[in-house]
Amino acid sequence: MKKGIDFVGIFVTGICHDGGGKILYRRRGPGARDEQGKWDVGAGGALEYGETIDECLTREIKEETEADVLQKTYLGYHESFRLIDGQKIHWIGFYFKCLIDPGQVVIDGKDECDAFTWSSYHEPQKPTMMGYEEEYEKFKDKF
Amino acid sequence: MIKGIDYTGVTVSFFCHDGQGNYVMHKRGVNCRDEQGRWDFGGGGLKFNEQLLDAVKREISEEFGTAPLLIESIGNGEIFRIHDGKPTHWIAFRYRVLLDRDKVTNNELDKHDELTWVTLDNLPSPLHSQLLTELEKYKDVLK
Repeated sequence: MKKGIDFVGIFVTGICHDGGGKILYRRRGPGARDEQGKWDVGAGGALEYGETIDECLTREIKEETEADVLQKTYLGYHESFRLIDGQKIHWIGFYFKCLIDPGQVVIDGKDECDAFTWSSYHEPQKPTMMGYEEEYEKFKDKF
Repeated sequence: MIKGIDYTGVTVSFFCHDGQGNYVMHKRGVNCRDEQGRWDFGGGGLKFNEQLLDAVKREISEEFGTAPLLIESIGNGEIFRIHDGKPTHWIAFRYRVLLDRDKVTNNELDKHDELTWVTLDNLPSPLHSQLLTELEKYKDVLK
């Protein structure tokens, strides 16, 4: 049984910012599950059974960036329906805007992510992840 | 694999009103999964590949035999409980829904023993165990 394929998957994403108008973009490396070479606008992942959304956010950002969440604002949720290789995919994502200290960020040497940079939410690194436009339309006024 | 026990379940729950401050409640029958004999407002599980709003429309139609006139999203929450000795994990999306009172019928006789219209300051007893916490959370939007 796989999340998002056999049942509705839940994911949590933190769009990480530096407090000065820039957000963290990370490029998906050769070890990423899919969409290698594309830029991720947030850091996050699937909610584990029994875990709260807050715990998931803290855990995923720590795992993916080594940084602590200093402040967070809930942005909203987004339903995502896709068809990938003939397979229906159904996820619901909870989005947060998270303040982190750029000095804490360590990404080098991670197979899932091979580069990162900081820039405005309104000028994304390209190519961005599939579905980015829908999310941008929903959350652009919060940045 | 059982929703809410083997993986995080997603549910929609709703408070249905007639536009005059009256809310419809049902008494959970012996065929309900849990909380039998207790009064509740209504809801049900989201199906795979189904949008949240479609789930609200489907569940309301199944439970009350009529279509919603207006659906307002009022929030979402996480529910962790122990049921029959097992931990359960649900994510709930909550709505306030306007119905045409004259068209509301008890459409799920196998699950709901009876329906009643109430005001929020005069609730029947016993209530679903989670209801008071929820009502407290949404008291400002449920008037």
